[in-house]
Amino acid sequence: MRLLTHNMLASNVRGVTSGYPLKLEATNWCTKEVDLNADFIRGLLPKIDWRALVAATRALNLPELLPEEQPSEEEIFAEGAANVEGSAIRRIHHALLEIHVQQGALICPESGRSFPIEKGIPNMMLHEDEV
Amino acid sequence: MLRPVSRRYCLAGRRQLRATSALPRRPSSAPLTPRRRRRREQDTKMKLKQLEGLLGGLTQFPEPKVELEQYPTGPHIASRMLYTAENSFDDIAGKVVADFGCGCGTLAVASALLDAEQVIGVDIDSQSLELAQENADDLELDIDLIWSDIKQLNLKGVAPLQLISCPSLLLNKLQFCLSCVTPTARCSLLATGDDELVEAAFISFLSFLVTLSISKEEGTMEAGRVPPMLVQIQGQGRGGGEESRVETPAVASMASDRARRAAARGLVYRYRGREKLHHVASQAVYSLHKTSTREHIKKAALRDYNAASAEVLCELRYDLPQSYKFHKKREVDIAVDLWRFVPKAQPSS
Repeated sequence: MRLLTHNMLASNVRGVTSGYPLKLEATNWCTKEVDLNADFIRGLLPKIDWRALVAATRALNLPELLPEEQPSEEEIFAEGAANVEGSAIRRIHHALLEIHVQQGALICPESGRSFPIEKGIPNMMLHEDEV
Repeated sequence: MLRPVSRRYCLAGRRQLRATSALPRRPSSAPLTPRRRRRREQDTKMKLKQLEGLLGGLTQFPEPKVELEQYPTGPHIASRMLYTAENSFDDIAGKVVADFGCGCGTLAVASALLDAEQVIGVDIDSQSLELAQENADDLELDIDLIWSDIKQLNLKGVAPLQLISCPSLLLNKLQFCLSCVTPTARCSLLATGDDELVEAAFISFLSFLVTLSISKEEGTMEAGRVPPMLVQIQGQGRGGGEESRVETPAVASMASDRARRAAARGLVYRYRGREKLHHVASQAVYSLHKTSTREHIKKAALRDYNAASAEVLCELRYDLPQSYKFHKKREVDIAVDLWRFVPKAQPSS
């Protein structure tokens, strides 16, 4: 599960009103490199919940990866930033698309229900009494 | 495991697939992923034949579950669907694509092969998901899989009613859209993000869905009878004698009056879902429907379901292999249309 997917997922247990963002607990994760596509990031960024993304990177023990406040558009999409190692857009790209959580859990912030992640697949199946 | 020749041919020049997926990834200094590099070297987009060849090598349901209505999406139709979406309308490459009810991941893999930036596959059956994962790994593709009932899946926890007020949030719309899909639905949603416009495309086998929701409603499965849809697929179902009395094409597959009434209900239900979908998609909705229902679909989409235009892009054949014991023929071809609906503009608030 990539953090982009985590950024979309919410809990749907009965009675939960928002269920977002899910708290990430990762026991095992890996990175796989993907080509950077600046246009894609540009289109995606307004739809990303920045705080949830930052919280997810913190949960993976990567406090340095993203700043608490979202960098400005100018900074992210500055000319040539995509080719600079460690630039904002590279970090965002890395966080969203290159980190794969293999093992762990997603915790609903309201009900505390834990959704396990196994082999990279989050199990969002609800029990009968939770629907 | 034996692989069809076409697949090996397509992958000629690459090392053993199974072996490479287990090896560590290439060092971080390398500028391109193997897939992209290959593509750039060829300096072309993936060819249709090549796509079909790769899809032909995927593992499909070894033991399809009749209660989940698992039918494989064949390489022929899957490749053409996605190829059209990509080459005629630019809806795949560099986009986020979600495949709902992905099964063994044929459409998800096809999207990834066509360079979708992020592919998400959702299914209720964990065994299918494992297969989908294997299929993706074999081709060195990354697909995010989620084990969930589509009906219960909540992407971005915003209640549907609030969604209309934030039309720019693609992901919320996705959830909105999801809330209308039944678990038996055999469908895929392609949701894509663009600079300004949010696009979502929906691929479904509506005429199948119709019958599926009925067989559930009527409890025919539990009673051990052949679901209406399968009656029609066999072309000689047990209730076949009554078929000739059914006039409407959309329900021609129904074997009895009871089923026909249920079909009407099913239609209403499904179309209600479709109406919402058109609210969700701002650019295009792709959909597969049986050719026999063409007139009805067109009328319904334009009149009731918020479509500004509806056109048939091409006629395809859904090659359904013998999947269950009660299938009498080895393979049946079903004529289906690939539709493209353009929804009316979204209300801005």
